[in-house]
Amino acid sequence: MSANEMGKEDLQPIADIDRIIHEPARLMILAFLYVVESADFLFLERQTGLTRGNLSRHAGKLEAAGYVAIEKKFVDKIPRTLFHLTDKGRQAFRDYREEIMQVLGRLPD
Amino acid sequence: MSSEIELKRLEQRAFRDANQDGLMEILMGAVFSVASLAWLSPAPAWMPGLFVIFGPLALEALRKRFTYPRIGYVRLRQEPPKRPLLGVRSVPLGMAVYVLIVLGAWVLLLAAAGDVRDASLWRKWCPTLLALMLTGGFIYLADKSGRIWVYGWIVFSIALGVACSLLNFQRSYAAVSAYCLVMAVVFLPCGLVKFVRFLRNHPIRVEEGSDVGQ
Repeated sequence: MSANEMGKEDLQPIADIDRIIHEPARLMILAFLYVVESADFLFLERQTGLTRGNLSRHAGKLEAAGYVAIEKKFVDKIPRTLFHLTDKGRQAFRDYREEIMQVLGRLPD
Repeated sequence: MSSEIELKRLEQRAFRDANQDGLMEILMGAVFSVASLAWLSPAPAWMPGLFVIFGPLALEALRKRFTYPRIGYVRLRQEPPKRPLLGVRSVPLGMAVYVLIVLGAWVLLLAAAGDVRDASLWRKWCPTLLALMLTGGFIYLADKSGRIWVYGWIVFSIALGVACSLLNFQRSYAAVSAYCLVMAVVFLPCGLVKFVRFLRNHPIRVEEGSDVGQ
């Protein structure tokens, strides 16, 4: 199938991709939280390589979408910001993964 | 599926990073040291058990003090495996099956070596049994960390177990004590070197002392 043969219906799955997740920084955060139970700010920062400002901003967007839960607490008088994926976020990540693989699988060589 | 492989790698990297401080090796070395002493005298036979119970608590306390301020905190996933091992989905059941298989193999080994009912034969081949039991832990570690050299530990541990079983010791349980001692001698320095390197490579940055986050 050539690119010209792809009609609107073929392109629709691309338009349906979750734009909250379809951003490299947010995708990194979600992918990492998908494989762990929870992580704090410092660990997430080191794993993703994002700056503090970027991590805060993108995590905030994911929280607003209901994909990530952010819990702030004190452990031995030291503040700890814990992130973990919500059930909605886990399902959204799974759906995104399936969608993106389907879209890429349908593209011509 | 390639995406699953990548996620697995991500999980393995998280596991490696969370355990890069060497404290786990130090704890294992400590358990082996105490076990080595415990096998030689009847009184402190419960001491390794205490280490196994309180070791994780001590490990967590040390990590709060040294590890989390440097690299952060992560809680790894503890969910049951998606792919059944030997047809068994539950982790405790899988462990029970593994222990039964190991015990079966060990009894066959005893039968090949002599009379299974001979208690001295049991004591003689105790290090091999311990090494086979530990193999399960090493396999778990290899899978979680994705490090192929962990299989080297398995080879070393089993070779050491068999060697200690074949050597003739004068005292009862001296063979298993020797096995634990060598394991401790290997694990403790490894852990200490890793720990010192970890402290050097990951100094606490002033702004990292508290996680500002949001």
